[in-house]
Amino acid sequence: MGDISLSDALIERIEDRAAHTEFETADEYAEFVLESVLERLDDDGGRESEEASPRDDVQDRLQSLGYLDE
Amino acid sequence: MTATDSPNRNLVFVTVDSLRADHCGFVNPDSDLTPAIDSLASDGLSFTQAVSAGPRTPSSVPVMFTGEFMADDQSWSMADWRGRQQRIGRHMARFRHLSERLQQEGYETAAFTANPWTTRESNFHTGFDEFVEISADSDDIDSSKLSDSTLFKLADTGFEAMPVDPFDWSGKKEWFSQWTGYFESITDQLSELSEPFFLWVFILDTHQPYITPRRFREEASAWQMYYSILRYWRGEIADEEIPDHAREMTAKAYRDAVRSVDAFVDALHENVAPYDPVTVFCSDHGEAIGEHGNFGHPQALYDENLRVPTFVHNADSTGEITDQFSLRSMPDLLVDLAEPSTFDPQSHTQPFAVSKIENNRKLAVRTREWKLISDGETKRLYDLRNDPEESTDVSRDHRQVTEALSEVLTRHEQTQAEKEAIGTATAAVVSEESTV
Repeated sequence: MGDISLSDALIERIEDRAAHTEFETADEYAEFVLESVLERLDDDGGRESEEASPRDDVQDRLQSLGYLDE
Repeated sequence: MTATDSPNRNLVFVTVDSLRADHCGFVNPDSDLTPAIDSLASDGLSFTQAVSAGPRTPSSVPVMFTGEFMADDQSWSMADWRGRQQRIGRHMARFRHLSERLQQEGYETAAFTANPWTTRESNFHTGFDEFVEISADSDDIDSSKLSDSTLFKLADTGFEAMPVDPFDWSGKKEWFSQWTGYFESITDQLSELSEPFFLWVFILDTHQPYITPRRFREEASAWQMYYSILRYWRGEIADEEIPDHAREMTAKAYRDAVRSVDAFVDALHENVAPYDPVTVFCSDHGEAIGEHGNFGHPQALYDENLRVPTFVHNADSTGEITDQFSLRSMPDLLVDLAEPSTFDPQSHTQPFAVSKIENNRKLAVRTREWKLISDGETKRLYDLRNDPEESTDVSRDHRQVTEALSEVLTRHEQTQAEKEAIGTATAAVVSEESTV
């Protein structure tokens, strides 16, 4: 685990946003934000666009296994 | 890469659909259905208070692979299977998978999955070098390998050629998904993987309607097994209450399916042993057999739906972990196990475990002693030590506990709201960046 320095003002803003959440430290919050950004940048939307073509046979599979019932 | 080039251990991750914790002897000593599973759990590290993030595959496995709960979707409906699949796909695209993390560590990764929610369409293939969807309609595997059942073979080829198929067997091929049919494909793949490897196998054998190969059936005769299937099917269609005799037959058929799963674990263990892997075993959620009036895995958050058997074998750690372990922590646990000498199982336990149904509209927080279930309007508190069947709401008798657990759920929902805001902001920034 390495270190990255942030300004006190930024840390204060992070702590304000993270208050009353499960983020226990500013480090955790900052890591989540950076992960989110990098995942988007690295992916460049590629996988998002793959969601468009579900196969029709999946409906039979889901139906037969009870996944379309309440 | 060979094993000598990397300090990382081979990893085998077995996920069984719908296997109840209390049907495994290492969790419930009164059960004798799983000698092979119990032996491995006893040799290794057992988590006897493990809980899933949700009561069904779509509410559990995406969380188990990413460590994150899915965002709300106001337009969610049970019938909109495409929308549900796309929501999982967006979730899996947004967060880095367990398999991607291991791939980055130098692992060759392979998956065999029989569940229709964990497919390419839902982005589960990302991070896998080899991805095999096991279904009758999959291009990855010969449909004859879904099962060695005679009735399946008829459903797969015979009924489609006939003028009528009165029970629509040809539309129910998933019912016959049995590990015995495709086991050889797994072992063939195993021999082709370079080390270190990560192998994920997700089998469906304890999923309804519990059609089990004859050699593993000790309680349910063939007619009882098929009768329970038809009762289940009729009950699903007609929403009828299932009578006691059918419930008992269903319980027998389920127990036989558990025996089959145990045989799978035994066979897989024998075949992976030469590679000396760390093996992690769990189910994705539990299963109801009449409890709370439920069968199968409905949108319910009781312990029969949420408690899961979990163990780690061959990681140089032994013993029983009795603190709670949420399957939400599975990605971190598996990545830590890549280098077992620094593995600390206790660091993956949690005093509070949150679970939700798929649309996030009902959620629960569980401790060893209590469970609070909230649907946004009503809250029910169960005393798990004195009322393990979760039959009596004691929220009025234990207001402080109710308030404390409500605060945990509020904090969780605020966290989810913040994460959604971060996701929205990130998408906007990256989109702006790409247009510049």
